Amino acid sequence: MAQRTRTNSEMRNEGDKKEGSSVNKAFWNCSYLPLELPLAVGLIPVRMMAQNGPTPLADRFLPANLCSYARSFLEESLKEEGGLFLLCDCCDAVRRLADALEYEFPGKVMLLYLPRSPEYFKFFREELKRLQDFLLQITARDLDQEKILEAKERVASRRRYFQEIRALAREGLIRPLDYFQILKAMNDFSQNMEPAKAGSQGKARVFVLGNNLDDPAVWEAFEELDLRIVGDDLCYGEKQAEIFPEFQGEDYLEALALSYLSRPPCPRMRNLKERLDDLLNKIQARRVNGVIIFPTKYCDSFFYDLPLLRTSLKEKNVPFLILEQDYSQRPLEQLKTRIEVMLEKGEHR
Amino acid sequence: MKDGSALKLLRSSWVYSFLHPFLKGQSPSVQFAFGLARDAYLKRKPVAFTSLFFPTELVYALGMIPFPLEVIAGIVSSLGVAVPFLRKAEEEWYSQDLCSFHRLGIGLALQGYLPQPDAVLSLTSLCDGSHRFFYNVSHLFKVPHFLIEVPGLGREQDREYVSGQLKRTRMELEALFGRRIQQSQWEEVLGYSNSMRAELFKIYALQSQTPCPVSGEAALGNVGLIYTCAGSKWGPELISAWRESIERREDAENYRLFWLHLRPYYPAPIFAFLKERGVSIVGDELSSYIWPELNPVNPEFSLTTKIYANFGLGPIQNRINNILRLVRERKAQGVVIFSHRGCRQSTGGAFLLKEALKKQGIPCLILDGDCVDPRELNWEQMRTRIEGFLEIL
Repeated sequence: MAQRTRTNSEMRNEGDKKEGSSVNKAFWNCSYLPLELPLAVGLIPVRMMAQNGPTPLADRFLPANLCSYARSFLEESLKEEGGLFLLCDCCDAVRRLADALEYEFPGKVMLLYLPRSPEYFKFFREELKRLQDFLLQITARDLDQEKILEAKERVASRRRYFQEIRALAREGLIRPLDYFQILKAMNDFSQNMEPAKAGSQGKARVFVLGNNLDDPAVWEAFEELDLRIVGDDLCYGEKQAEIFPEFQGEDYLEALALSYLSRPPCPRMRNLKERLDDLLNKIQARRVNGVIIFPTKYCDSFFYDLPLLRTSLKEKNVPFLILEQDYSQRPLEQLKTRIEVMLEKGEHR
Repeated sequence: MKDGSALKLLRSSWVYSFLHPFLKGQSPSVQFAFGLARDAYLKRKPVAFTSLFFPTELVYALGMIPFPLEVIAGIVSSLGVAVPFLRKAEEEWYSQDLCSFHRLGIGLALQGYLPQPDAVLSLTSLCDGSHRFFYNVSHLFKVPHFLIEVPGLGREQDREYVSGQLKRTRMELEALFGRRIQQSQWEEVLGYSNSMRAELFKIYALQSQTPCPVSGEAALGNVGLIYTCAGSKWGPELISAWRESIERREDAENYRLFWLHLRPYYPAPIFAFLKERGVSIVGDELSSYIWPELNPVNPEFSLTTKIYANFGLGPIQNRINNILRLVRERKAQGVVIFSHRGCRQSTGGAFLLKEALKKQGIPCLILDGDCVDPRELNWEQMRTRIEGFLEIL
């Protein structure tokens, strides 16, 4: 396994060679952030991936009881030579992350306020205008209709491709690790979307739920367990691939605002009932053998989902497993054993 | 949720009639708390569960009773009975990593100790956990949740956005309860709030005196009061009574410290120890919350300015600037950051705050702990750290 799994930094560096240095990169944290805007001004949007392991650089700024994704984001940022940091104001941890980034990279950080419901899309439109102005000023580039339409198409083509992969994965034709790599590449424009390899037929149909699941070793463990990933509800996965803003000549910022806010909601947003209904429908429609829930440790928004989510899954008789995701640890053997136990239990229902 | 014997007692008018004679001679804050509990449990008026920073003036203007769950959690903890409620929440999958004020609130709800609310009102400031906590509470009680989103920067468009949401919430609540706030009611409620504000300034002036006559423990204990009775006739009365109870101080003052975030509310030896060492807590950020005078001509916009007076909002530099100002005004020698385990917004910025204070030559101690969960207290370790810090001073 160790031979196959490349670190995210390695993969990012490979991307660098293809598409320029990190100074042209716009590192982002949240899938409500429209990638069309940084792309349109010639930047390379890269979703910052969490790394497993200690965070000695970030520990100077952020305490241990803060989201391990935020700490990892900071750790990786502090290793970068440059770039911009585009953040949605998702939570307290991200706000403090923005403070730390601003301290280290003054003037290179944009924190967008993200309304919790699509009904406030006009406010979000103004925030996107602020983001656009920031990008234009910092890059000293201009932006026209042609560039934004081209960026829209670049984002859409990646999402369409991911949707094809997702359909194949449901049929058991894509291996979990490849699913992850393509999902990751969809959000990292310094990487190419490599054609997917044909994979083995995973037996157990599993739905993966969580904030982010950035450790390739976990996806490789899924593969070893012969799991078939029939869907995900990760921050940057399926939900993001459903965003296709529609605009031609009209106000594209408004179209982006409405489109991004209207995607299936995450735990941070208002409409929890809608979110739970949507999730349960997906889980039932895909005839899953089990749901693996990976909340990132110290994510308050997600942890408040658990009591209601757990009750709903129990009512529907869906086997599930909750595994806290803490990037400072990697208990893979324990993870594999617990997944096996969950699936065995499901068989005897 | 249980509907057990405790709730039956709390809902019994006989209990309040029995206790009423014992109120004579009690402090105004006890009388206020008694009245609030009685009116909420007996449902004399519609009850709104509120988050700490929700502008209660709106609740009073609507003729509702604010029932501040985080403050109630602090009170329950001060009575030394928090643990069973925290355990109950944890059994129901509310993670031990979540803020204990909120876990305790959930535990109280699940055990049937809270009155039935008619609505749940919360702000997204300062913490994100509060949004989801209040949503879950509204789900448990099957009542509507009104959430006001507060973007951090406080620009004109942010204020319009917040003000618009307040207006909409007010209109929806008016429709829900079939009553409309009259201008005279706004004038009365905002008038009380302004009088309370004037009284608070007098307390702050006392905190700047040397030696400081105001007990830091009491000031931290009054945070809930300040946020709950703004807009009530009790507001100015309570703060005025607090001021009148402050006596001239005769004992030695060895150290002056400024306190950030809240304090442990459960019985703990920390304040007795600080007093013994001659430490004055000359202020804290949450009871030093001063908002501009409120104007009834545009009440929602005025309440928005109150919301934005909270310097925990926005980039950490806002908080740093205000803390530096308060440290200077109160002539503090050092700062204690009480790092409440489940609090992301405050503890998340502790290291940057400490760094900024260090640059100004102000020593800072980060004390890890928990405000309401006594299981998190490691007193020996805390005492050693405080002693070390005092030696530096």
